[in-house]
Amino acid sequence: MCPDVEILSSYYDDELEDSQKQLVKTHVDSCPHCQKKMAELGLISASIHAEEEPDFQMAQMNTWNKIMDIVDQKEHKLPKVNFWQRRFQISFPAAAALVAAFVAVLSFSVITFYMGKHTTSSPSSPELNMTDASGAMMDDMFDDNAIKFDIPAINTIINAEEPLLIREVDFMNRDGKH
Amino acid sequence: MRKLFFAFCFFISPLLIFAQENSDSQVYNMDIDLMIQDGSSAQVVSDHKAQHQTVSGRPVTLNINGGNFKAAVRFTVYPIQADNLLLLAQSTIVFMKEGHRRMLSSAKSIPIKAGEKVLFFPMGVLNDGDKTGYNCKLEMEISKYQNQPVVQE
Repeated sequence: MCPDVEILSSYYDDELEDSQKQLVKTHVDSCPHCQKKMAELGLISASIHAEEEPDFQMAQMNTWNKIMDIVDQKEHKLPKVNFWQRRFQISFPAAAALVAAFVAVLSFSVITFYMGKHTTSSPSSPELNMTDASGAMMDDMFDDNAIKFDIPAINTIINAEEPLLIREVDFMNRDGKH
Repeated sequence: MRKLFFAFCFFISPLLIFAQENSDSQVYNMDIDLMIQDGSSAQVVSDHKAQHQTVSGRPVTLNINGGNFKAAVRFTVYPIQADNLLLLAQSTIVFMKEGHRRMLSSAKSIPIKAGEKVLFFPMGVLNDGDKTGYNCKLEMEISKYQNQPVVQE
């Protein structure tokens, strides 16, 4: 008696246990009908695989092409931006702190610059005959931060001689008194 | 990384700007005594004292208003080595006499030691033969400023 078609199909797919497989094999080897059935199963299997393979490859290709299309579209939509055109996001407190620091540094620099301005001036000419322009120069000389002395108006104080800068010891030795 | 670099440059730039000014700076104490002396008797007819603190390279300016003249005197101290200092005295004086103005400017320097007394006569010194006028004398003592503890009695 020939086995069922399903058993033959299982035998063809090598899904039977060893004992059953041996029995079916012995029968198929001696039965032309079952050999014919096995040949038919082989043809069916071959035809299925032959049709399935191109479809699968096509599906793979289609899927890959779609992925590449999406990637291309994204690359075209987001053009490359160099460093100077790049936008930075900064939080408001950080921006406020930066602005405050900048203003503080700028103010400090300006104040220091104007305070240091007085260090650069140096009288050069030993003697000058001045006109009314001396009034403006006097305003420049007398700044608010200077130490001010108001002394009695004594006309005879004017010596108009060469200024003298000397150590006290040397002056005492030179003059004997003062 | 670039952001960090720019942030570093931003915060380090003020230090670089003022680094040179603050290097080797020393605080000095200036005791200044302005005296108007009679040329013949050396009697002090007017005496004004002032004390001022400054740093090396920054001038101390005195404005003297004498009625018939105005003077601006600037003293600048520069350190040389240890207690050796260089004192630069610059003066600009405008005389007003009989409706005319005359201006004198000068720059003098002298090496001194800290604590040494220095005299500056911005309008010169009367000669021995001409003692009828008055001398304008600035007596200065420059010492290194030190924080001294307050002594409670």
